[in-house]
Amino acid sequence: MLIFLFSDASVPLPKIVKYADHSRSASPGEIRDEPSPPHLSHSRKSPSPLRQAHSKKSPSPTRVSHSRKSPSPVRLSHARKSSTPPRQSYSRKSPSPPPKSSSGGGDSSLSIDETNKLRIKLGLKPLQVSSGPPPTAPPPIRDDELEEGQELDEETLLKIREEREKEADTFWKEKKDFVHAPAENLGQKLQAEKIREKIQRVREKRKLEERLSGVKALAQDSDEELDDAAKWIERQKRAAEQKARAEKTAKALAELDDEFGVGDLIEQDFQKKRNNAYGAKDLRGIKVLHSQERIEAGSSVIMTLKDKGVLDEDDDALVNVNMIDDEKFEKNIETRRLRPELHGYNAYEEIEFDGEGNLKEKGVLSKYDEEIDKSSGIKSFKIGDDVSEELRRAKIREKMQKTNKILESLEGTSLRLATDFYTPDEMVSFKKPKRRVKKVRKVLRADDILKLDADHGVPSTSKSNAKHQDMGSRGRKDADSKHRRSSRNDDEDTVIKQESVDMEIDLDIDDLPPPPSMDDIWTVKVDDEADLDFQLALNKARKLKQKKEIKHTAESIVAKLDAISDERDGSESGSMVLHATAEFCRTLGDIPTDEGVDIYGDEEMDFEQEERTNTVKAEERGRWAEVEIDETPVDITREPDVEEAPILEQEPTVGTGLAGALKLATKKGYLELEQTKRGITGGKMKHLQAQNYSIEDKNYEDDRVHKRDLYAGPTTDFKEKDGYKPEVKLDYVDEDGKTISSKEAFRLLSHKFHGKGSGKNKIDKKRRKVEQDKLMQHMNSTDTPLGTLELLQAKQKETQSPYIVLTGKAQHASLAKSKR
Amino acid sequence: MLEITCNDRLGKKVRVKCNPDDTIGDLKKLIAAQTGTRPDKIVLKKWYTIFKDHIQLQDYEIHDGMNLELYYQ
Repeated sequence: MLIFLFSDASVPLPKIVKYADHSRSASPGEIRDEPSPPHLSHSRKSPSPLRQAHSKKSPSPTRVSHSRKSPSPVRLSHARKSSTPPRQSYSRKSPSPPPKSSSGGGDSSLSIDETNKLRIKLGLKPLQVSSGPPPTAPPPIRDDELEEGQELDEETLLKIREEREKEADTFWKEKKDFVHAPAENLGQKLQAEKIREKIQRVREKRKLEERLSGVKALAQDSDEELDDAAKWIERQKRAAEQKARAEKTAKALAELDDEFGVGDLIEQDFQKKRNNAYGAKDLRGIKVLHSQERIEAGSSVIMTLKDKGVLDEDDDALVNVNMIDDEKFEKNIETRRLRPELHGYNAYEEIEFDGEGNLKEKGVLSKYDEEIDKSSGIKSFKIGDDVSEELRRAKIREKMQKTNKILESLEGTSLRLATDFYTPDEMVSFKKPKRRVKKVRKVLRADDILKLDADHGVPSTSKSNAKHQDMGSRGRKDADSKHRRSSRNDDEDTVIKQESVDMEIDLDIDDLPPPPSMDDIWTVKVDDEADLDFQLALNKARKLKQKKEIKHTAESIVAKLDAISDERDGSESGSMVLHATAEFCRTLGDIPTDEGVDIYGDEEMDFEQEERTNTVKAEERGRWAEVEIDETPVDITREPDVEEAPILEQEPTVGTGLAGALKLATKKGYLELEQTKRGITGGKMKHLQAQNYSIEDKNYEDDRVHKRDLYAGPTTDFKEKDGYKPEVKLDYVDEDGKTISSKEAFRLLSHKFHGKGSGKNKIDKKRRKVEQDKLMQHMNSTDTPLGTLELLQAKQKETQSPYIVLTGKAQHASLAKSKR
Repeated sequence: MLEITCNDRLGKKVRVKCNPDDTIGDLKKLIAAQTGTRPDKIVLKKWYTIFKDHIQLQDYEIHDGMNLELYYQ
């Protein structure tokens, strides 16, 4: 259904209304209808020029006739056609730009030309090119114009038709250019390639055959000549003939020789040649490149000539393959073995001799000699040489005699691993060294005296005696020791010089052998060592003895006690033992060392004595001063319970009560003090902590509360809490218990947090303010701060008047008068 | 004439010139010619409407400069 409305109010033109609908068009008589082609009916919707062109081409152009006024039909189509340019002309105008590649991410678009071509290919009608909006309605056509238009139409129609035809021609020509190119068949391509290859191969083969055609093959040749038996026989015959002829000529020659007497000479020559057959005598002098030991007597060894270069000039040599292998094997083993001489410096290098007793001369970096000069290492002999073992020895002997030398090694006893024990064979040779008893000095010791005491059952012989003896001490073996010793007397805490030293020295001198001469110096040393050993042994024996004595009877114990007291005296006289451990302990915990006896053996005593000798001004000093650690004397008479006091502090007694028990428990660690646990958590910041705080598992939270539920809340109300409206009020209180505002509270908190309060001025200001506030609170609201009202009232009461006179009395009086 | 942009969001974006009275099938052929795919494998979509081959662009109210979604089946 189409409605063409060419309406123009100013021009009284008839409206052309066309109803495509036949049913409708039939009813109004005023509008004449014509059945219109369907494409024209479209033209209203899409007034494409192309369509119109098509319609033009059609032999029956549509004529829309006027309904009322003008009977002449209007060529609508023509009018429209003229308004728009033909399509083909457009396409001719612009040369098509190269198409953009459709591949890639970019926006690909074709030009109109290209699309048109494409459309032709696809069998579509070309693009309609009208950049503007589609014409909704063509301009109204007047009657007169229409008349002209009709004339024009008929002329132009022809023209246009011709044009169209031309265009169509060119179009079809153009279209011929577009030939559908079939897609490449990969399979075919491959096949073609294969075939080409095959051809190439065949060609090459042929070439090769051509080249080789001139060459005769080996088998071919023989085949030609030997395939025939007759031929073969013939050839044989020929050969036999030749031989016979040669013999004949030889005979003739021989005869000639005989005639001239050359025959004998030839004979001799021949014999000589026969004698030259290779024998044992020819082998004489030939070198065998193996040592003689390798070849066992009585065994036969197959030797071969050693391989060598054609141009090598050295003589032939014989080798055995197996022996070569053996040598190689041995050499490998040798190289594999760790030999210090192959690895640089050998600290334990010794002079070496080779098998013949010659000194092995070591060159610089001799370890490489073998590598450089390979022939040097190879042992060889010559066949025919007399090389027996005996001869070799004889040679050595001869050499020794010649040089008049005796083989002698400078090295002493070989180094051995040191052990504490003798081996059995060493034990055989071991002799106990003679003990020179007389050389051991006899020293009177404290225990000697002790023993004496025990034997006699009498307390110590005499204190003075003990004092005079240097008990448990021993002088150095210096013959000329004229030093003095100091000793301390405990009773008086004074230092006294003792004459007993001299006595002891005398004793020593008695025991000592005469001063050794210089040549005997070694023996003296030995004596010294022996002495030391002896002393040690003695010490041991003494200790054993002491132990025994402990087990003695009561009287012996008494005696021992006495002896101890004596010993104490003795120690007072100068045999206090000093040693590192004791000193250490003394400085540590003042452990009493009143046991003056030498518990620590003679060595310590020696040390002590040495120390003593070194100090010159010994007598002026206390005995302990010698070590220069602590000059205060040890209090020997201390109570034993003090001595027993534990190093750790005393354990609290449980018996005293519950407190004691608790104390013990805490000390032992059964109970833990709460204070230790508190630490950070407790304290002032407690009020800052969240009251109900717990770390929830976040994953768990996620699982439990879905996003939907997050905002939903519980589905049922808490009925019992229906009327509950919590009133939340946050009150902050300062140190004085005064409520403060949140601002102030925050300030306080921040001060606490930063550990930094406000300044002095601010604090003052605040304080003042607080005071003022306090005053304000206490102030009477009915009176001034100075209480003037009260005063006034009091005055009024006093004067019994409702007023007071502020100025002079006279006025007051006058007032009073007037009142009266 | 109108120009339509077709984009499969995989790297192919084609601008096709066509007539409004072209069917979708025609458009597909044009697209196929430009992109090098077979037209019967092309699916044109706008939102959730799959355009049918026998219907014209104008009936689908496809206007100049519109974007169509290009899918392959």
